[in-house]
Amino acid sequence: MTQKFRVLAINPGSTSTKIGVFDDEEVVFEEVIRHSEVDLGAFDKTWDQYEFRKRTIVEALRQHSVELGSLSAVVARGGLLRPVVSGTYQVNKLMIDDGRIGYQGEHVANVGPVLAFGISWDLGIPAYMVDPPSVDEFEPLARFSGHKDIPRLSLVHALNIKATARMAAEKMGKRLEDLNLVVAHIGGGISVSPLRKGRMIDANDGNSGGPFSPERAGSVPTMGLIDYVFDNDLPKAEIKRELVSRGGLVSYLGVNSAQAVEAMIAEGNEHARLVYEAMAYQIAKEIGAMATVLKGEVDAIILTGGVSGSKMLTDWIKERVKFIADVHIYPGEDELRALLLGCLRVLRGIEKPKTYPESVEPMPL
Amino acid sequence: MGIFDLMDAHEHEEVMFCYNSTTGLRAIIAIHDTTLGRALGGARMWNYKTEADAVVDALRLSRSMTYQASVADCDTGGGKAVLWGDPLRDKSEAYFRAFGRFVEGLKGRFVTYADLGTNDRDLRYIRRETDYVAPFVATATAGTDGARVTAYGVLCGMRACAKMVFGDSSVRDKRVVVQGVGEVGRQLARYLSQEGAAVTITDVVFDAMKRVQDEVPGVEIVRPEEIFDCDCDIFSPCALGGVINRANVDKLKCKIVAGAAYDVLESDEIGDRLHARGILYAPDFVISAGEIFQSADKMRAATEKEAFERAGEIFDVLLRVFERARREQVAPLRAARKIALERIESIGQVKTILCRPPDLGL
Repeated sequence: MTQKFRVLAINPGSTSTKIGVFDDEEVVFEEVIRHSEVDLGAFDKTWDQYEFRKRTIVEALRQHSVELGSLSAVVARGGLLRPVVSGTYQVNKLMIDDGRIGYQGEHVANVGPVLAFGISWDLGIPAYMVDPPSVDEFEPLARFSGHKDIPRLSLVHALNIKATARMAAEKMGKRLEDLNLVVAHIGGGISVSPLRKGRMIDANDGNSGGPFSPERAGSVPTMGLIDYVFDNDLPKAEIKRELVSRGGLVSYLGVNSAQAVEAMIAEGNEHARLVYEAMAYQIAKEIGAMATVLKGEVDAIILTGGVSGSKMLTDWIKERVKFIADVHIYPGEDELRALLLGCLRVLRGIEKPKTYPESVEPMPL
Repeated sequence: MGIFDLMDAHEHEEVMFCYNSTTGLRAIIAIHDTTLGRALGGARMWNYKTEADAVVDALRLSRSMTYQASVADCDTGGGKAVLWGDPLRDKSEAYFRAFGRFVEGLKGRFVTYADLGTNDRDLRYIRRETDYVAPFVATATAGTDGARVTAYGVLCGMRACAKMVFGDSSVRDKRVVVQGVGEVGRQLARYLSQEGAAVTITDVVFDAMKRVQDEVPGVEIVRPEEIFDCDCDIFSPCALGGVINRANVDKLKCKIVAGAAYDVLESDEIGDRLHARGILYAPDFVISAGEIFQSADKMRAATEKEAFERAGEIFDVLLRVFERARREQVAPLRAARKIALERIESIGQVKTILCRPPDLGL
């Protein structure tokens, strides 16, 4: 009889902490622990929320009658850490230090590894982190931006892209390592990545380029951006907010949900239809661009993320990219399960845990 | 071994068992020696496995307090209160007020203060029933300041050790492993980092380590079970007593043992073994004396300046202990005990001189 593993998975969000306890692949319970503005307002930085969030997790476990001592491992989502290769990492001090300083920026998931480590330490069990957004498998050619002082960084929805790609490969009866895929994560932000034999060799950073999304502006004309910045005399944080939280559908239509846009279209709003189709057009264009990275040798195109549940949107995308390869749709994103599976691969000895930071090749500039 | 045998072995004056069925209070107050003055000792609350463990801890710790006061040139005796209970579960106002009444019953033979497992809030309840609570440095963050004084004393003690071992009293570039980062260990880690030492910490509770790491990001961490495998210059036990024992004394990879925890050695023979291995041991009751410098001898709160100045004297006191040990070719622990007992004996003899003639009512 194979050994059973009980895993606690943690995904910190800006106003909630999603947790799940699993006995192998089976869900014991999942819960979204909501945090009030008052509770979170007591902290200057996300990092300082550690003890508060840990307490709420331990309390949730108690309420669900899950003994802490019954856990085999804890796994959490990672944040903007050092560029690393894809995989499951053992949480270590350097990872925690990088989370504290926000190595590549402030991100709520920077607190994930320390939460896993803190809970695991007291229990004497391992703590892991799987595929943080800073996974970097770019090939040298992908690192050029067009200006030597502005590098092109790999900041991607790695956790969901990798997990979905694995799932798709399994369904196709192939190993991920034997396939070439283009995966588009379509959520509040959009990342499109070409996976050559399982490695994300290129991708757009949804916060600073690629298709516009429900909230992000994506790639905007540089000259126009310079004029916008200087004409409006806005502080840096405000400009970032404008491009990352108030761009895309929010900018054009004032809403950030696909359902709301589809409702507008259903009511005959032609402008909403045009904007929405433009988003599909840009996603398709990005998929096409990434297909060229794979020199056209694409086994399948995968659409995933919360917004890929919109048939209207995915039909428009399919119409433009189906000539490249078959399109498979995996709506939604199950980050807890992605974390779980990464953790189980290590616990079962299928993969060796990586030691942070397993570095990527240096920038060839 | 019976209670009287234990008292005889440790040379105790009095052991008091306090019980209150309403509050669940089960406490032991051990008074070791009052030759120099009232027995001063913290009230430690701990969930001991057995009653015998609680008794032995009270006896050992109160004896250390006697030696500590004597070597530190304080006019207090040695005592300790052990409250046998779970600090997270068993505390209540009535619990501590019941304990306070037992302390009051001793009419000043025993004076207490907050220790492991108890805090200022608990002391407030005790104080409602008795005046025999040590008046420590009065600041808004008294608990933290007390830890700072103790930690500063340990730092000064480490400097004395470094002078003996490395010929230079600086801890700069020395690797120091701190076992236990509660308030004292945390403050010590901060001091050591400021002094340029390379610091490694461990604790059974991660949150305590995170608090240190957030303040001093450069500290390294290791798992508690790996602490004795760490190569270091100074091993600093700042958690519970008895951590160095027969099983691990030969595993230590350090040149100095110097920490804030009481009764670090399982027995005196462990001190001899360290000595034989060439590891300098700073006797626990000498190096951790910063704790009692917070109250002056006459039940008056010391000012912060006074407390830190006296904690700084630990440097010289330890050098005297090491010199005596070198001269007599014994382990520092035994030399420190001798110094303590000599002072108790001589002051005890002085106290036989009648200075307040009895009122004969003539």
